[in-house]
Amino acid sequence: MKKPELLAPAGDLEKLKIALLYGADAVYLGGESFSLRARASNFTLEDIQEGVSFAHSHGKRVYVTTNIFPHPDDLEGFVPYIKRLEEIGVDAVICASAGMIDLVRKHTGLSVHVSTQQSVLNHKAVNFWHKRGASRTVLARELSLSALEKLSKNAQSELEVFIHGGMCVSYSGKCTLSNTMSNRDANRGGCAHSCRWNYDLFLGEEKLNRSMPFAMSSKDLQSVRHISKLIDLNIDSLKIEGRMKSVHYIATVVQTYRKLIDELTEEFDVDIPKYLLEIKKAENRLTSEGFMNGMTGVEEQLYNLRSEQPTQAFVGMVLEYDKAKKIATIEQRNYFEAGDTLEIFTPRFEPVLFKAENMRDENGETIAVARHPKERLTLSVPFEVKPFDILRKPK
Amino acid sequence: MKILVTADLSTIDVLLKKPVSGLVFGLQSLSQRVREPLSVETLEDCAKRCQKAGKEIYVNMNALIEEDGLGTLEKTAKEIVDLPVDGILFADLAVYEAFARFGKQNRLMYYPETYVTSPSDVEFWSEQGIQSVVLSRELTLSSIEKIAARKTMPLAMIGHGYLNMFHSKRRLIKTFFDHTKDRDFKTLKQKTFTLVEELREDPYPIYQDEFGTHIFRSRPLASFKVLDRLQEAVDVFLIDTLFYEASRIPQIVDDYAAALESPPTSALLERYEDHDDGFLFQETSELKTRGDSQ
Repeated sequence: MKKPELLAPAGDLEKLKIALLYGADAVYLGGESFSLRARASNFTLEDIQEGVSFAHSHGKRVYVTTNIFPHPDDLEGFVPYIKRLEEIGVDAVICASAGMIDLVRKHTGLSVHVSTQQSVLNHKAVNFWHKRGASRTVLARELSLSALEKLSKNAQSELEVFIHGGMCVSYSGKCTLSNTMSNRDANRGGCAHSCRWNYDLFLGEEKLNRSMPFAMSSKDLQSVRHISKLIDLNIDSLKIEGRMKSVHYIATVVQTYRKLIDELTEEFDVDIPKYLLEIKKAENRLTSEGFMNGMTGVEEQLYNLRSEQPTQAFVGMVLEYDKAKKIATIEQRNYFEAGDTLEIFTPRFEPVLFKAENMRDENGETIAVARHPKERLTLSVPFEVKPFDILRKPK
Repeated sequence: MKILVTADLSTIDVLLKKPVSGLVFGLQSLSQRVREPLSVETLEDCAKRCQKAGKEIYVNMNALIEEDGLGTLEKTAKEIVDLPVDGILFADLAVYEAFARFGKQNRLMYYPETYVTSPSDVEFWSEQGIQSVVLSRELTLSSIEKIAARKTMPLAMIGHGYLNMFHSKRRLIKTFFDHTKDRDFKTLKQKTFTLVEELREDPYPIYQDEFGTHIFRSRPLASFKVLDRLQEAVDVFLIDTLFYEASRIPQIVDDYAAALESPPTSALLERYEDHDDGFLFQETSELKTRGDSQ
């Protein structure tokens, strides 16, 4: 059985390393220009080089998003940029604009993936791009499993499918709500998420929404139950959305899908509820299965006004470990106290609980609470931990 | 510059007598956000009438198509490929493939609404052998002129009408009422509603149909004030008549014909005070900064 690629977002170098260490086969990231996530901590060329070196040293891949729809002045510097990406050795670029795809093909030997911003919905469109040099198409998030099955039978290039994360409620690449309402171009990295705002709906003068504001916001996508089918369909890459998400989110979601894919391709009985429970720990917005089962309905929409869910507390990340003294040096990320029960989350073994004891600050002073984000602390951990292992506080 | 106007059976008679180069019709199942779409049989009849009146005829096939819709597309392409149709507007690349099969891609006008934004896009499409591209509606006039300065094929644009700004496959109105029970969607006879954001006043037309949910800018675009500049830049000027009362459309067409001859009069401009400039002067290059909410 072919194992699909697990593709994760990398909002910065730390997240890139976390994603790859926790089980992604490849990551995608945005540079400082030509990428849609203007708010993400985008990568300089030096960062990209470091990320590519790290990924390749682990036998993994890096794709760079150049997925804006550029206006005439936005293309300045694009060709030198993609040539530099080729020199650095990135494994592909992800493009939405036909003109940019064309420029990549004419000026470099880089592999091109067609972005989901093209909203590709059928195999004819996939094959159109294949004939014009694209090695992969990232399919529209509106497709059901049934539609994916039919499409994949006739597609000539690699296919990539979103399995987890935020979803545009509009067809991707076709929305100008943000342009109109906020002067921010959704197709050039400025999306203001106007689709998640509150509205009133009128019929003439009559306001139709009485009990709550009219809302269009969608729940995030979660596909744990459908990975098996996607593997059966020979989908080449399973993609997680979220270059803006936290380290904890990336680690948890990547590791969950990694283990799930591995078990599904290697074993017969897979405990799906266990995976659903695990992935819920990273959930910061309610999730649904999107279009996987067909047309969406109430269950796929967010109608509660305060829908953000607290994540399982991510309290720190391991920087180093003194095996002789059983002392870990960590970087604090969220408040916790001496005596709290914490959990080590790592790609190497199942989560293990321990009690936060012997906590000291950088000056070696004993402390009762860890309250300063990014502060270096030490504490006792009675078993070996490694850099990039995560400390979290169970709910 | 050619002037094309979107039409249906309720407007064809009057528009055939008007000073336009051609009429654009929607086609059942394959056109979205159009006036009443036609069957292939009716289209054939309309094509003959346009030919007889010396007008060009265009077909809008801008639907987004999933695998289950490919059969309908291919059947329809076969049926209309030999009709005297001057152009076919399309958004989904499956339509390109369907007509390329017959070697008729030169009939096609690429009309994805948001994807043609740079000279490189135009160059790409000119290499695909199609007739023209419809520039993205969120371009400023300045960007349109920059693209036109480097054009390698004829350019079209939506010059007048309500600009669509959102299309979801989801049935957002029905789903909302399914959840809130505020109203029974089935009992709401009127097709088009308005949407008002809580911090703003603009009413955005919104409706739901077989293709999903569509939202439009609050005011329709009118380009009379810059028609002289557009005439230099684009080759095809489209008047989209969606949402207009049939009775108002002849006047719009006459006004553009007049404005092409001489600068628009104040009386003419007054008729369009409920319109705006669309994105022609609206820069949309602002980016978010951390901590922004809206």
